[in-house]
Amino acid sequence: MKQRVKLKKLDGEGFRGILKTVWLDFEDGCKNLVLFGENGDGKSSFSDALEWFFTDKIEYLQREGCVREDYFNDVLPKAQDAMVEISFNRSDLDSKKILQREGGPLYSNNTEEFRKYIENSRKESFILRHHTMRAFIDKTKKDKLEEVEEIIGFEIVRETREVLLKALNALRSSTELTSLQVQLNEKGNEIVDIIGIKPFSEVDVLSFADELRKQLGYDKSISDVGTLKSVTDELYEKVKITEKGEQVAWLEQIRNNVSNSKKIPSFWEELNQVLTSHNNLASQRGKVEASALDKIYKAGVEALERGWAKAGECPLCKQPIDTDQLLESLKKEIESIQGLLEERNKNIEQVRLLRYRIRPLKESLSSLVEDKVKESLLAPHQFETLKSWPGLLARWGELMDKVEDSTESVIFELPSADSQNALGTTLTQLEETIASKKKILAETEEEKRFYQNIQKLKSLRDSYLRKREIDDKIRVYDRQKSSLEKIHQEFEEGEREGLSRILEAISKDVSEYFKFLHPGEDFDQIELLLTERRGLEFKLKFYGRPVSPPLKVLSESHLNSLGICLFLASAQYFNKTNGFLILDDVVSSFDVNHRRTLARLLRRDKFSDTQFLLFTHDDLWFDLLKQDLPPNRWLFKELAKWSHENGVEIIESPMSLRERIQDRLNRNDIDGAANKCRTLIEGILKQICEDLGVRLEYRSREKNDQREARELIDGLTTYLKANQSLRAKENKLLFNDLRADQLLTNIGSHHRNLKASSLARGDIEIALKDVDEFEALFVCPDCNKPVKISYSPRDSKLKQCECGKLWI
Amino acid sequence: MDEIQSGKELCDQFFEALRNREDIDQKMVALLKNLYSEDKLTGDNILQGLKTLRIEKEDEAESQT
Repeated sequence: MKQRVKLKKLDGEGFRGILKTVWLDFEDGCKNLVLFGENGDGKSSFSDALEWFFTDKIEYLQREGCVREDYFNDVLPKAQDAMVEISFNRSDLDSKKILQREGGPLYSNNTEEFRKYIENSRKESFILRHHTMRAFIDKTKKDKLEEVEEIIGFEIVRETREVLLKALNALRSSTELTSLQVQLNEKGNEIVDIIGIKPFSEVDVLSFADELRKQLGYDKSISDVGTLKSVTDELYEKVKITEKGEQVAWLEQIRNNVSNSKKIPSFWEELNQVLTSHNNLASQRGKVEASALDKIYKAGVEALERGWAKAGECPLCKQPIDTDQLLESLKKEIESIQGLLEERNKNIEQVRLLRYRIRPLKESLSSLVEDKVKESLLAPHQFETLKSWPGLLARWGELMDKVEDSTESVIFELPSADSQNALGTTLTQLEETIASKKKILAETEEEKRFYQNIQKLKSLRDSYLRKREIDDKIRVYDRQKSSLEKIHQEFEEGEREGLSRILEAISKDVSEYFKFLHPGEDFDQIELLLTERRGLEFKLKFYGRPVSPPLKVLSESHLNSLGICLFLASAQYFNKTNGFLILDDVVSSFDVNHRRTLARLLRRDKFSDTQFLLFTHDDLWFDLLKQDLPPNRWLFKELAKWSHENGVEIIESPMSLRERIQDRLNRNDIDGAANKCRTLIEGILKQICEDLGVRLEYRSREKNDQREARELIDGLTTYLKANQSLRAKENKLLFNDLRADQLLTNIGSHHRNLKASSLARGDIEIALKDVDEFEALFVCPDCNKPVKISYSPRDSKLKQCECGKLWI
Repeated sequence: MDEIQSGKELCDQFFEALRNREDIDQKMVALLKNLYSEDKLTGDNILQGLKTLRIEKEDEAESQT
């Protein structure tokens, strides 16, 4: 397996809380790091810098409405750019990234390899922050699934499925298909009218046609579609040979065209509806303009998403711009005009269908104003009425072109009621004229039957052949539909199986990590499962009973730890490019025991190829980590108190809490020293109370760890009084002193307004001396071991040290 | 971990497996495969491609008669 990329050095300048150049050096071995800093000292500036380096943005700040300008340090001169520089275990990927005041961000590394590296890194999730760690758990089932799909690179699967479904739905509701079905129905009815059988088969049609052929006295039989076609043609030609026959055929043809032309009013009505809808859309000028820009928006989105456009630069005007915000706003714009576009597409589709129908209408009408018809069948006023209509139909055709090509409104002339009536009347009169002309031709009954049968055969042939054509078209459609349905369905099944396999693997790890973090607790079989309606949810067993969602039974701290477990498990599976993870202040709500187990989880072999950057503001955890994590693989650094003038500053971290208090005093950071002193007092009191089995008021879970020194001292005092221990006056005084120290350090760490006037270096030094003396009271001077329950006899009120010389 | 496929692997394998399936229109399979491999798989492109296939089929039928 290819070695994953790790961090060797991270430099920043002018970025977020960082003002002057500072760096985190992970040394040649790309070691793990624990970075301690009080709230506000600038720890997150480093996770922000890393996020921005890879993604051009800081997601949580962007959500809060912060813009690129907010990424610059406040005090940085307005003409100066900010920068983040990272060295990796692969020097070919080393790069500086400049956050320019003018223009987009710039990488110093322009190699193809680096470009691919950044592209791959953007697909990975490697920063977990305190305020986002539970975000996943709190999401809806649908959003959970989408986020997991994103993490595991399954967006392409979701997008492909959506595209297949979109095409399938469009195919199902195709207007062309609907129109074919309508036409098929029409042709079917025409055939039923002729042969009088419903439903009918091809054999019925051929038998009927052959019967007509026999009545016409023609000797070639009709046995299949080929002979239906050829025999009908031959018979029709035969009719045209005689003058009378030709005249009858011509009149019949004109009668057909008149009948077709009668469909003009219903055509007009449908066209009128489409044009009205089009003009309604056109009246919403802003939206219409936006829809005209739809293609540009979509092209912009494609250019930005595929990385064709330069980061920080508008792909169209090349002006500097926040490309992420541009992408987001383009997507919103496209979404907002979606309904409009759908309506417009529907209009275009309608127009295309009408176009199929306007040609035969135009041809029929044009044939009615030909010279021969004008001379022999039409009165002058009838000709005048009909003459204007072909031109009108041509104009309707132009209107349809306009609807298809442009979003602008169209002006259309509504044929007046008079002219519509005149058309109807003329067509009816023309039919009557044709009928009387046919009468004049003085057909014998035999001739009449003959011509009628020929006409019937011809109509049957035309309708049946057209029906077959339509049938074929619909069959092609149906085959496409059924194939696409199968493809979509199988794709969906494949997607579900693929996802389930991944979720099963992740769930196994999440469950293992969670149980490691919560040993002895009755949680089991944590699973991430797909829900019926394309969603995702956690399920777990609590006292053997299945529970979902976990919110029902898990505390705040447990939910946070579930968030960490999911992050670690998914990073293990899917971060193929990068081998570093940043946990930014994620243990704040954990109780002490779980903090320690987290440290132990991270040092397991499973994570030996992962470089961790742990950021914390928790003194006690920082101290515990120093004890629990091997110093050859872990670095411990601290942030000095953040200042406006200097920004973030990194200092080497002394090993013990006492040393760190001393270090703060040496730097004249009295507040910082007081804060740590308070933590020290609380830590020592908690240890003594635990060693002696001091009874305290019951509290559940992490609240048990949130006890303040005052409560612990009270509990300890009650214990000592009950057991009549430490009766010496000086020891009692020491208790009082510790109470005072605790109060003082509380002022230093919590009451910022009082700090300047209330605390001095000497106060902290005295408190430290008191703490040492107080702690010594509970340690045996002979065996040098503290008094503890574990050394003491069962049920003994007093507790002893290991050698038994000290009893308390 | 090796059994787990990435999204792209899943899609690649899916379109490959559609080949030679008698119950599915192979011209459509070829169309989808081409669009997918050229990164042009969109609803509109599929519909346009299917329309072309239908026209081809009509022309074919016409030339046979």
